[in-house]
Amino acid sequence: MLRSIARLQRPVLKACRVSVRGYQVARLDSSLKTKYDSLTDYASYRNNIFTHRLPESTASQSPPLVALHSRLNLPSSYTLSTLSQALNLNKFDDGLANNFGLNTLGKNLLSYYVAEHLLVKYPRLPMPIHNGAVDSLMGVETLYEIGKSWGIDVDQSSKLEKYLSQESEFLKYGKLRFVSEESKNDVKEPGVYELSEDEVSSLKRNNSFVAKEIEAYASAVRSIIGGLYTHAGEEATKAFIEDHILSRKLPLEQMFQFSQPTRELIRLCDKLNFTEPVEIRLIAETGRLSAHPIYVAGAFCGVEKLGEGVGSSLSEAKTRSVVNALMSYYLYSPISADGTDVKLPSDKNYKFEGIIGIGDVAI
Amino acid sequence: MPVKAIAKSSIARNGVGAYVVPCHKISVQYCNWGGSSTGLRELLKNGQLDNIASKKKGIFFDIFKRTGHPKLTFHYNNDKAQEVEVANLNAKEIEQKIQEYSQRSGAPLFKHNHKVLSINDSIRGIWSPMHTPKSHRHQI
Repeated sequence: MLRSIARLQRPVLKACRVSVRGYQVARLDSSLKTKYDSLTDYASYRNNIFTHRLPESTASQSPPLVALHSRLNLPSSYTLSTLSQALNLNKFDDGLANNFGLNTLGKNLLSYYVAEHLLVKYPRLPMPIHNGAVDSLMGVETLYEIGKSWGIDVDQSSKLEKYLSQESEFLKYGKLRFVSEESKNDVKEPGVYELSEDEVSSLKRNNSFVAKEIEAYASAVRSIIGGLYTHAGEEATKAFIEDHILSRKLPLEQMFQFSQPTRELIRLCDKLNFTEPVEIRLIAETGRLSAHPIYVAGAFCGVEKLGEGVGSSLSEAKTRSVVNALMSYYLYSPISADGTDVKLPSDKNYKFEGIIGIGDVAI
Repeated sequence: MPVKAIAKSSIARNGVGAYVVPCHKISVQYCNWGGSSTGLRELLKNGQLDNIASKKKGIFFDIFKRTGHPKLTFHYNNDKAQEVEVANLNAKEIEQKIQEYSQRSGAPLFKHNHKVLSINDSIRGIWSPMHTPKSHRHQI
């Protein structure tokens, strides 16, 4: 009997299958109840969903919010209500404004300053590594880590639990709010994490899993940066991004994965119009018959040594020398005439220094 | 594609650029009846804890009453919480405990036996016997 039911269900599922569009289509979020005069008149778009901002007097009574404000050394012009809004991801949470706009603003600011920093500091970085470095500095995982290090807590207790533990209602305004009221009441099994529908669909789409909490922390960090821009302006935001994000150590030298380094080096030398051929020469060795032979090889172009590598076999030393030559080219970082870092285009009195990369080589 | 990227997360360096206090919350538990809470009650009554809290603006002090011995719980940003028993301690000693634990990073203490603790490569490089001139090399 069971088998026959299972058989019956299959063709039904197949019939329901909808062909998936391969491209992105902008669609209005119907839950925002957007009204407009004409479809192309974007200025007339108004969301009619009822939202209000948290009064400053209420926000200032939330100890975690005030503590977060001073922990991040935010200027006094940065209102606590905006900070609280930056921590709210729920669209329908007591009618409070959420961080959607602040998140977008923060994301744009972040991607500008991170890209500017990388392009000026490492002008010769190949495109895949550049993208990896951007992810390394402002990817979801990194922003989650930053959010955690700022001591942001998640509001996970339901209204009933808050009432029973006599928790102050103001406390939640200083916490990250992304769990909906219904899922707070769900029974949770310790050690078991149930995927939400969004998470399952993202898993199917690009085969990568980002937990809702990680995305929420990242969004809060971006929103706090967006809020800083709205209250304190661009200079303060730039300084904040430099202090909190660009000050992190970027392990660029661990991010390269070469498939054919020797060929790449030869192509690169061609592209740079080096007339002499690339040669790998043995610089020193401990002796072939020694217990643990070690070879030092160098990648040369004429009399110029491009790179050097140590290996326990000739081929290892050769590959290491070639990879070192490539790395020292790609990771070149210009400095200004007085030995300081090169100025960024967003700096005052900016004058172009340094170099512009000539682009990647093709193999 | 000649070169592929290996995904790596950047490493936090708290204090390079901005410094964020690792301890973000201190839970202070006291009992209104027990004798072991006398010191903590005094600290709460004479407004000394208010002074400490106003000096440490980045830390959220959560004060609650519960029966049993008094306890301080320090919450750090590496998801660790450190409980400190303050039973029968006087106000001064409790204040010292708060000062001490609020300045910690939350990581377990370890004995540091090395001259340098760094995540950066040595700027001078490592000495290599292969790079000395041939005349200076060790002869067997």
